[in-house]
Amino acid sequence: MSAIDDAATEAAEAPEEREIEEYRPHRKWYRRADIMVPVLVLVVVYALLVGYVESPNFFRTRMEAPGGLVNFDWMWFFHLIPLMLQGLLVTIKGALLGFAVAVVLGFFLALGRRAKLPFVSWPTMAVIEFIRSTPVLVQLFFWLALERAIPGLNLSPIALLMVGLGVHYATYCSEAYRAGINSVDKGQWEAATALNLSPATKWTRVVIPQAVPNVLPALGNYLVAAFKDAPMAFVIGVHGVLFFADQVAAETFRVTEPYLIAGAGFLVASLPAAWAVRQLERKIAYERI
Amino acid sequence: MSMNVPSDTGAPPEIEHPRTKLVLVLGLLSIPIPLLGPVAWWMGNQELRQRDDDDRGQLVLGRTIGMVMSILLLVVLGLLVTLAAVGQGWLLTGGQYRTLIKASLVTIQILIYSFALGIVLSLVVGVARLSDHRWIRGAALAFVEFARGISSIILIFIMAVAIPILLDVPQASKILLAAIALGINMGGYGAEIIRGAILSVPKGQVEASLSLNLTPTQRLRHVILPQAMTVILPPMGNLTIEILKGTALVSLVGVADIMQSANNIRQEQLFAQEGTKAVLFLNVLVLYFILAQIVNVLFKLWERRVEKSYEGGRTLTPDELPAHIRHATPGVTG
Amino acid sequence: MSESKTISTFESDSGTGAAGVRFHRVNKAFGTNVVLRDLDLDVAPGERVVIIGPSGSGKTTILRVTMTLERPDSGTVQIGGRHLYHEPHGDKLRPASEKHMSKVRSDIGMVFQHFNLFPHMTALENIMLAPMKVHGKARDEASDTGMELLNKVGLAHAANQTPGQLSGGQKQRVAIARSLACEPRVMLFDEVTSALDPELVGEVLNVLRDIAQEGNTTMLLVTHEMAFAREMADRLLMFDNGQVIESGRPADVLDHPQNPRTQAFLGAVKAH
Ligand SMILES: Nc1ncnc2c1ncn2[C@@H]1O[C@H](COP(=O)(O)OP(=O)(O)OP(=O)(O)O)[C@@H](O)[C@H]1O
Ligand SMILES: [Mg+2]
Repeated sequence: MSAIDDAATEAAEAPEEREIEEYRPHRKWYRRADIMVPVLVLVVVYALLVGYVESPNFFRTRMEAPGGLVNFDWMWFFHLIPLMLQGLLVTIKGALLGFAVAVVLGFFLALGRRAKLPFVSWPTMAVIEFIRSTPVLVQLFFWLALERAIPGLNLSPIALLMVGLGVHYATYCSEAYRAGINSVDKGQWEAATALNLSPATKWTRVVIPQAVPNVLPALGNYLVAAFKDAPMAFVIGVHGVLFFADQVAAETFRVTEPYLIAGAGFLVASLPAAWAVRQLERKIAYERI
Repeated sequence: MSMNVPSDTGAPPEIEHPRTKLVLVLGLLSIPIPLLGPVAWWMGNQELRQRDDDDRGQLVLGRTIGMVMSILLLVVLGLLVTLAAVGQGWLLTGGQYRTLIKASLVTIQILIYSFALGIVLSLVVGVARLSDHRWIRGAALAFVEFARGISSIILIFIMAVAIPILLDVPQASKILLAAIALGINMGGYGAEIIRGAILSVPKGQVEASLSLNLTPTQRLRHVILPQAMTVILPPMGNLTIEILKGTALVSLVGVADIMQSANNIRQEQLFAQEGTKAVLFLNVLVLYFILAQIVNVLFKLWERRVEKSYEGGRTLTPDELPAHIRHATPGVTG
Repeated sequence: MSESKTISTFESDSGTGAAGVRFHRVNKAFGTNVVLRDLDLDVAPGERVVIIGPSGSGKTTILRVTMTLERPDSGTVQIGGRHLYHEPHGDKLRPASEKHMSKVRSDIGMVFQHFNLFPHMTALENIMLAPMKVHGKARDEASDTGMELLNKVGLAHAANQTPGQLSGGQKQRVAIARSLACEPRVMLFDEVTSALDPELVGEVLNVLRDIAQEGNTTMLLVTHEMAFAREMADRLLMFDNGQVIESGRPADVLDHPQNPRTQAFLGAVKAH
């Protein structure tokens, strides 16, 4: 408990110890290695995943669960790893596809939210608020039901997940964009006005370049969050990491190993991702949302 | 019009803002009459733009309630229009509503359990993150990383399906186990909120309480946490709504919450050859939305109460002072 | 160790009333920046010692070390004959437990340059907190004493106001009352008027005069108000480079400084 006083000391000393690399406006963000390298890596990984990961129609476990009365069998546990990885890749792909939708859609929501006309901005805000505060799971079922209700429309499960996650996280992204835009100093807007810049120039040359570094880490956090929500898509038939666990459990009547290996595999993927986002966060001075 | 009004109390002269009360009243009235919501929201915004004093709590509260009610209004209106356009009825049967509302009690129950566990974990782990002992700090960090790194749905499956078998307790309550999973999840995020808030309390406050010889626990309880509260509450409200959203996942392990009853209704519909109706899930979404807004308003009220403790009372007149002080000559005056 | 002997020669501890303070070879450095060098200082019970000196000379540090806000690197500090950072063990000294430090610390009170009032409590609640929580007093009793103390600093009418509603001078007077409520035997004042507008300095100094007149606490004051130092101090210490370079009756030090660095410092202050 006596940590409190130390904590205060730490807080006071922290700025001296850790050197925070500040955002330097004269150096464009797209020329900074510490920003562009992670972004490029992300894009490449994204392309590879989306391009090469096929979602198999079903898992062939071809595996017999060991008999006996043991509750947990290590050998079998390790044998499940390849299957689990297969499911994990599909989950990652779903999360990335969904997030791609979110990034674009979120931009339009942010625009609508900022609109001067109240009859545009208020409904946008209501929609954002509504989607943000209701469960993705229910939303997924909603999209599924809607897809069934519209004749002629035939979406694959992963496309449904893409829509569901995309719309849900678009609302989060729009809030991140809004906060990023608001974080641009008021003086910058005034200077842009004073220089008589056109609205297009003002946005593309002044506001967006300064807002992007503030938005990127928030987007990264939401990507990780979307990844955490993606496994639930097994309910609409996406062959992700939980689908795998479910399937194995149904075939072998053993539940401990598949679910635990799913959890372990998930941590192995999500912890480095969260760590990478924190690194990005530390690299870029940005205002928390 | 001079601002230098001489006053023996030294307190600045009070400025009246008659509109503040109006906005608050309008906001409160909009709960029964949602049509007033937009008015409260708009007026509150107008008024806020002109004010930058500290005493804006009532104004913000009134405006926020107005805002929530207007959004509710807009959402309901939007849904009505959409469904009318699609040509489906937008209501379920009374019996189905009753089922859903009864099931929402289970959802609320799980929310309360996981909130209680989440808050306790947040406090303990958040404080432990700042401990002097390297091991306690490390353990707390490991917990936070685990709780934030794992997906809540996988955690729910592990807790409610795998753990009872592993520990050989097949009769364990699914509701409790699922609530524990969500509580752990909330604890991970909450601990970081608490840690950040504790660090945000100025160093001088800790030193002052040390100079008064308060014990570490008293320091935390009476000085640091009350001040950290203003920083804790807004993100904690959001987190609670995230957990409310998370409760929908417990249906997947067979707890009879809102989502589960919705699926039951869907089965009935499929059985009756009515086909899956999107309307059903729209209604479920609205139900969750209303619950989320209730949580939202509760947290806003709580925030308001905390803000109030910073406001203080007015100057006491001599008559209000205790007798022995009233008659004694004051020691020193400024 | 000679410390165990000093306990017997140093004034004995009566447990109430003003207590003496003794620093013995206290060293303190922040990294390579040595702030206190082998500091030796005795303050008699009830004595009023004013510390002056250039910025960065370690004046605040010596008060913070006394309040246990900063731990010395070496040396001992005694309050009323009891070691603050050490516990006697046989005829040796051992580093003190938190419990021991807390016991000795209850004899000390400190008033800060920036008040550090608790913003979420009213003036009265600020004052009542320690008596109730640390000394276990009943709410009524604490509130009565609190009101009396507030009256003493001329702020009884502000009992229900929070720090946000008070002026700087009022805040500092509440902070003094808060510190007094613990009935400290040693009081530390760190530039208590430096953060105030000039016209508010007087009201706080008046309160300090009152406390001095009652004379049941030892006072260590750091201040830049030379006139006030001259009036209040039994002894004036000139600090430089973590050491006492000159000490004596205020009139002597201020009017006839011996050390050239004191002369330079006082010259600069007067020229200002
Ligand atoms: N927590 C700390 N960490 C590092 N250095 C410190 C710390 N506290 C004080 N110092 C350094 O110790 C030296 C003495 O500081 P101190 O506050 O005691 O000076 P002072 O005599 O009170 O000065 P002033 O008149 O400006 O208040 C300064 O050089 C200061 O930078
Ligand atoms: Mg100082």
